[in-house]
Amino acid sequence: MSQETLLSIKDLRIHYCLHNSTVCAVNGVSLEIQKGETFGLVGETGAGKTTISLGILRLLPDPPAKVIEGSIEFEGRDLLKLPEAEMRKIRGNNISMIFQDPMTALNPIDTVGDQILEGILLHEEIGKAAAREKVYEILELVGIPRDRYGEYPHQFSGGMKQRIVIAMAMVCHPDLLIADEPTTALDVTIQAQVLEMIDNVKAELGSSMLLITHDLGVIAEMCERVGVIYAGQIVEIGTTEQIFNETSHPYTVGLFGAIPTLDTKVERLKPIDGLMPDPANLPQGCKFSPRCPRKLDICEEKEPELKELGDGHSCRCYLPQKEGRKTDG
Amino acid sequence: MTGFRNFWRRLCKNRLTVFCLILFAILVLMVVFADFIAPYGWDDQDITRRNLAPCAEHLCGTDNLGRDIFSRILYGGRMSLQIGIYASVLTTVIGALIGSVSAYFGGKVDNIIMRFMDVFMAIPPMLLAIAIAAALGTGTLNTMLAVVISGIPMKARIARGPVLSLRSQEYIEAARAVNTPTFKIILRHIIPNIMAPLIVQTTLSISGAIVQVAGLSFLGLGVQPPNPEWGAMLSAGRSFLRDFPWMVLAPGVAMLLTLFSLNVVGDGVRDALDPKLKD
Amino acid sequence: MLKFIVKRILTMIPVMLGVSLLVFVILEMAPGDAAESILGEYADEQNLEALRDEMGLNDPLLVQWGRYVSDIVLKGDLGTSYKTGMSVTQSIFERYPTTMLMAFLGVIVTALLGITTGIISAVKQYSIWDNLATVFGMIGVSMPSFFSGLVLVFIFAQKLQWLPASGNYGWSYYILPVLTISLTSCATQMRMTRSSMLEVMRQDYIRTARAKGQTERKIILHHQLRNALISIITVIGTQAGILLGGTMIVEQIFAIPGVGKLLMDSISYRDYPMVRGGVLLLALSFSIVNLLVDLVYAAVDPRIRSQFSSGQKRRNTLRGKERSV
Repeated sequence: MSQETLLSIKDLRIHYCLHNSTVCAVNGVSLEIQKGETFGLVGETGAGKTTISLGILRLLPDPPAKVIEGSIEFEGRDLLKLPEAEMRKIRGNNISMIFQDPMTALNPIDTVGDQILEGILLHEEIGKAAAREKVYEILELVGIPRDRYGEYPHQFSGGMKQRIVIAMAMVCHPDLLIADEPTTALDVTIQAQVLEMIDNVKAELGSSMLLITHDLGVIAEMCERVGVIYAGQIVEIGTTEQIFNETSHPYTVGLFGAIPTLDTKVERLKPIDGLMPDPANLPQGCKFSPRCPRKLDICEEKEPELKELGDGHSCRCYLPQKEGRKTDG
Repeated sequence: MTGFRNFWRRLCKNRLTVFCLILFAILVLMVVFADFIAPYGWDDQDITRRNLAPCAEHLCGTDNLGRDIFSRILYGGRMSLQIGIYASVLTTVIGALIGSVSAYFGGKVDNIIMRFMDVFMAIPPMLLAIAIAAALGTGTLNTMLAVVISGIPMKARIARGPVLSLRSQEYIEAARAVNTPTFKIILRHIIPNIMAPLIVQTTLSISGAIVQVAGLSFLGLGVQPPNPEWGAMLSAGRSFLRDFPWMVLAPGVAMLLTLFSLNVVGDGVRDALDPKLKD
Repeated sequence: MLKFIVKRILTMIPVMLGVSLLVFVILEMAPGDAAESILGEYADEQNLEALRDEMGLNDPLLVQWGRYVSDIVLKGDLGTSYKTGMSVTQSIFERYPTTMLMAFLGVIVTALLGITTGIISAVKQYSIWDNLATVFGMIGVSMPSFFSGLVLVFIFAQKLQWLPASGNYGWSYYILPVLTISLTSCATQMRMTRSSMLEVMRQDYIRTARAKGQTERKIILHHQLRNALISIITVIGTQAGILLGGTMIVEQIFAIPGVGKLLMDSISYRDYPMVRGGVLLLALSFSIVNLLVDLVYAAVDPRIRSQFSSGQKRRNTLRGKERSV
């Protein structure tokens, strides 16, 4: 795996400006994704993960969402500054996205083959016949028989629909695939299949992936590096081993503590006390301090910076801890 | 009570809706207090003062028999609103009952009743009303009956949908399991749950009912002269359109204002009660 | 597809039979009967009874109805007019093309104007065009055809003298009547188109299309419009029924010799065979329009094609507000 940086987000801030309040969805996020790497973004619902992913492709609804500051560097260009026509060339071509709910992601009145074809014809200068061949190829790659080209989405199950969505996203061999909770809406048994397939396709095509999820098991399975996000900020970032074995942010520790394990006998699961703060009304100082079991006075006054702990592992805390954890796979 | 406050707040968010709510309230007050506001009776004729253009003593002029058009509009409005509201409520209540019963029992009963409704709906609505009115005869009551009968099938169909999905809910099964009599289930569990769409339907169909009654009266099948029904007034004023247009324009504009405000408010009510619409 | 068409046509038959029975029953309730109409009010009771026996009016209702239906099906005979003594079938069919032409033109104007303004309104939501269109749409919906018709006559026929006010001696005579019936339908069509387009705009697959890098124009035309088409077509179907009913009023106002005017005149003459025939024919026309609408549905939406080939009837739920997806 080369150490070339594919995508670099710096200090990204995104707000939703509603008429009587401002929702601060993303508050200064910085991360880098290397070529060929799978980067996991893990956090609860409402933490800002989807906003970041939509922000990369500039798919956020312009009122009310506004990018307040920051840059997203991709192949030497700042995506936030590109004209719309240039952005369209990148979408579906260099950067693709898979959404969470496969049931509604496909156009019900187009054949699945044609929907994949649409992507090719948009970005590549090839004839229809050659494009169709490519569609057949990608269908086989995701495990859908080619003679189902002319069928409609309602004729497929949820898992297969998601495969079609993946085929649509990968057909132009993107450099970066953004997968926003791709298996959350699927049965557990299908989840494993789909994840494995995403991994295979990604490896086959040499793409990077930004995998967004709230499931730590999926992270362990698929990702090389992880960013833990809370209230629109990265609170801990590092390799999967570091996050799992050297967990340092109290929030991350809390996340792991809330998972049942096979080898320790636990009387009760330990959820984290309290709720994520209202993004329209964020607390001063550290955003996690109201719920933190180890908070100090300074935590409530001044927001901690992301501090390097060593070896590419960083934590946004005044009192980072080093906990050992078993990787449960 | 917060349910109603919430509804009211959502309703008043749109300026046009608020404006029309006020307008409609004013119109309703005017027709309710017609006896006090109308400067003349609706049947007071003064041949010496006929076909007058709008002036100080006659805000909308007089018709060919010397009757004050403004007063006639007020009394006519009272008729239209009354018939419209009664017809609308009746249609919705009966239609919803039929639809609920049909959907609740399902199977063959549902099939038969709905085929029956289909036959009614195969006839264009105005045509059905005309046929019924032709058979029953003219007059206020018969007209209302014609409008109600022609409107029931549609309401039955609309009520049927939610009931079909409610039917398979678990609390209905639970009620059945303890031997609750069927009509009680329908009355206490099903009907309250379809109240919201029913209220919306009733509001929205008042204007339709008013238009149908006016249309029937215009064609001579509904409310008869000398009653000051708006549709009848339009029909009577037709012959004088070129020279004395206010006989047509005045009741027409009155009808337009009433229907406009009613429709806007109806839309507002529907949107305010729609859980899917974002706040 | 063919199976679907045949099935649909077959379901029309019992419905039409039902309609004929319904019309029969309704008109039975009307005062006076055939014998009275023919012989007059002051006729001898004996003569009336004799005529009634001869015409079969004393037979049970169902028998009379059976006779009526078999006459139609086997001989194409809708009866004889009480007033003119002429064949009902002939009288109606003479006037049918006029009414149908008006209704057809009305549908075209409604569809073209209503759908285009609806799309523009939705795409440029909240702009000045949208607000104007919304207000005009509201006014259009609130103005019944008998008022708008009279207003149009007043302005264009009487004051400006640009267009004729009655009769149908040439194409210019159709302009005002068609405009009258279309106005309200147009407004409804525009509002429905707008709300369908907006609803489709919120769907996930629109976001997917954008994520593929598709242009806005293509998204609106290929993805949004085609999906909104189903609701739009539903509205056209409903409006067709209203337009058919509306021809009655319009033919009165503009003195156009169509089926509607014939019907109204027959009602005042108590010419029941004519009324029966007219209503039946208009109902049949309406049913055929609904059939065509269903065919267009199936052509546009593949989900419906699969449902019908598997034998399920979802037409009813689609026509109402609920849709299953």
